[in-house]
Amino acid sequence: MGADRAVADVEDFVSTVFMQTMDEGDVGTVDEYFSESLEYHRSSGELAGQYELKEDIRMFHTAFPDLQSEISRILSQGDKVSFIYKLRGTHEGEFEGIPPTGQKMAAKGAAIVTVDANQISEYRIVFDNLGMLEQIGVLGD
Amino acid sequence: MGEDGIGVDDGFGDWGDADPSEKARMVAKSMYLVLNEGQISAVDDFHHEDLDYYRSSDELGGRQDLKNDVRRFLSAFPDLEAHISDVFADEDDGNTVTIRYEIEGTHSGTFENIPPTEQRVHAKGIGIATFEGDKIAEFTLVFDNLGLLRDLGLLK
Repeated sequence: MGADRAVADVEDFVSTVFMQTMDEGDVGTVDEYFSESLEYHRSSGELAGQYELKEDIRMFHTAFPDLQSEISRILSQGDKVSFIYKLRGTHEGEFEGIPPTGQKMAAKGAAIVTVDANQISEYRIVFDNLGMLEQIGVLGD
Repeated sequence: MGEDGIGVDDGFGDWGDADPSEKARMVAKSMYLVLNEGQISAVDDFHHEDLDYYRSSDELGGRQDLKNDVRRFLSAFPDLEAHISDVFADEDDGNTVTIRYEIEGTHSGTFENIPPTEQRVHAKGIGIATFEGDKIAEFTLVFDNLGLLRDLGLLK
């Protein structure tokens, strides 16, 4: 998929990009498929960009080297795509200062993405960080 | 804005680019009536009796669980307001709707055994609703519970 590829099906494009970045941890794909001026709205509401997206992907892959994603629902209207996903992995590396616990986690997220000129220009996520932290055993109920 | 009463006057603010399609409006209206107006009975008007309700944790509940969750939230944050930032229906058949919102409120009631802190909280959510006929048959929600607990001062 080159930069001049027409996004014939935005849902296929977005799900392919998502799985490639999350499952492979290939941050090189961020430069290719996400716009240089990306608006990346994290779960916390903080506005970040391409650099922070790569950092987040790297951080997740360090903490959960066997990370796998699954998209359960996807829909689109025009250049906007929304999907529900789940991330699964084993906590085998440090995560935000938390040493590996060996625990498995499966946590849900939702995203809304805008595709502009064959690249993702806006990326908004809400992720169940609380569920993830509870499952790796660093937060009680 | 609209003749059916969804719009600026109902506290949605400017619809902006939001989808004015019928089902997108229904999802927005349902959220507004239930959360902002506290009309918990409106859950029944917009959702199937045998609703599949997937919480953030992915735990599956039904229509009664949705009502219970709303009731708990409203008693913990009685001044709760939901601001809808985006809502749109699937272009294919218009039967699936995404809604992005932010809630804002004051913790002046007990929440999950946490006594009132009077803290202001803000938290984001994204929901996807799938219709069967003219009612929502499946509602999947992802909500920033961690952000909420942080605002309550319970986590760093």
